[in-house]
Amino acid sequence: MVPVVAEIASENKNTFAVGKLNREENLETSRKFGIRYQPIYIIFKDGEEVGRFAGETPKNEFVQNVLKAIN
Amino acid sequence: MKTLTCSLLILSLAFLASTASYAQEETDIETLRAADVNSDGMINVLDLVLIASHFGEIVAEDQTPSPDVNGDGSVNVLDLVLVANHLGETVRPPVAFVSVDPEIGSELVMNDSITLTFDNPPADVTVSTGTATIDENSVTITGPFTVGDLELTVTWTDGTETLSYTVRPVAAFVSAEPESGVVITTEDSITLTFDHPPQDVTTSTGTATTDENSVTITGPFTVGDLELTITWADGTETLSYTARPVVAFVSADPESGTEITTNDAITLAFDHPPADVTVSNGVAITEGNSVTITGPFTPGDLELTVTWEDGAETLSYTVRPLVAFVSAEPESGVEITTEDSITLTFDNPPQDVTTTTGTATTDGDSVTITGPFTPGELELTITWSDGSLTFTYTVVAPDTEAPSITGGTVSDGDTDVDPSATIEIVFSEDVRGLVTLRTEADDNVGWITTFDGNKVMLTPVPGKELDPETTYVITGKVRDAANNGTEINITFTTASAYDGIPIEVTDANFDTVVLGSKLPIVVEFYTDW
Repeated sequence: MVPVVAEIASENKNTFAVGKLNREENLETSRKFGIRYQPIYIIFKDGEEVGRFAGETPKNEFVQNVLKAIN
Repeated sequence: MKTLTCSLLILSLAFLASTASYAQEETDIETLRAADVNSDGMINVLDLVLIASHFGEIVAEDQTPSPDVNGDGSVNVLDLVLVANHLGETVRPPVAFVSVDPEIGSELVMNDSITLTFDNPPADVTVSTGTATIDENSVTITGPFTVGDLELTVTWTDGTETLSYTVRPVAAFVSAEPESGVVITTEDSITLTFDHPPQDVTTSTGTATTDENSVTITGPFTVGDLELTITWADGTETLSYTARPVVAFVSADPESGTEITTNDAITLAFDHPPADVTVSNGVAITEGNSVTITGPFTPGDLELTVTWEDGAETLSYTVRPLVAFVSAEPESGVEITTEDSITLTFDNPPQDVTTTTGTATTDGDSVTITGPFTPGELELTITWSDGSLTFTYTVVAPDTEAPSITGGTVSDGDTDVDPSATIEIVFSEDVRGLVTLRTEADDNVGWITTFDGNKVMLTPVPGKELDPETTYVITGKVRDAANNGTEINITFTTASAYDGIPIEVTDANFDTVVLGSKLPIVVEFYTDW
């Protein structure tokens, strides 16, 4: 996990949470969501996937992607 | 012939008489008076001539002068001899009682004297009681006589007189009450005591009334020095007094029968300065014609008896507690509105309440002053029976605007409220009322609500923490000082418990952590190489 994600998590803790899942150790969930590439970011709201994006993403873009998905 | 014979007899007898010696003392006075035929006090030849002129006659018993000297019924030589035997002697006239002073039957005192008057100086006077002193035609009999009935027999040469009297004792002055020399009032009476009932009592001033051994002198007397002379049959007594006016009660202020307070003073007016004033309650101070009685008096019925040297007066009052001001609401000096009322509290029900502004209504211990009042500075003077007080207020137009929320830590609709922080709501003005923090299900969370001026604080209570990401409602109603109310209804959601550190997600907790998250969540799927 890149350090910027930790920053994003801290700075937006009141708006959204950030979790991390080791694909190799949690294959069931990874398969369930068809994870092939990494890193993959899937956005959940109210128990539903509302968006996802992949790869190294600048901090601002990361946040914008999340906000766009949850609003 | 008769005349010649008698003349010879007369001459013969006269001659015999001139050569004979007779002692008058040896002859009783009646015989001598009979021999003094012409009653001139002398037995002489004229008496012989008078007998001779009736010589041989039979005379009547009541003939005066009677020539029948020996009283044998005829004028004869025996009569001539009888006269001749006493020729040249002097014959005292008969002494007759004329009068007595005091008159018979009257009352005497033991030391009185009785004077009898005769038509001629009496001789050989003796009395059955007392001592007789003769002075010319008078005989004075002096005692002392024994008290009681007196039968006094006076005997003198020519007669006896019995006099009857009643002898009473001499009445002597014993004492006077009040005693001479003291001060009395013009209306006082003076009682004199005698050792025996006095008679014929007169007084120089006032009226004397006698009762047995006492004489009461009643006035009214004139103010000033009084010289009182009492005279009775047996003496005179002069008493000296100073007469002062009788001090009479005139009025009381407050008058009897009224209501007073415990601290009131009662002033009595007299027509003259009273002396020796005492009172049954309180303390009396005399000044001039007035007596002022001060308490404190005990609440309830008061029977006040004032006594002074000339009298007593009983006054009745109802004593009530003194009414004292306790407090004013709102207190003096603050701001009120034109429509406000001011309530004054006293320690007892006040009476006769008046106000310089507004209307005063008394209810028990309280007085409510209602307006409307004129905007500006208000100086309000309240007067009641026991005092007066002045209050000042600033009168403003009434507040009709309800308080409103102007700030605070939580606004309606907030979703990220810190569940552990004290909630503060700020209003546009000071408020009071009831505000609670409740769940969406309207259950009281139990936080502590405090009002501080224009702020309301809701303070967490241990054990009653708010849940994260949960909706709560702040509800209630606040009012301003003018009682303008505002309903409060602030709905907010607490923030997540998420702390900003990425969450470790696994197959095992995925459903809970990710799918169950109330916050949107971004999950990074990574491989650890």
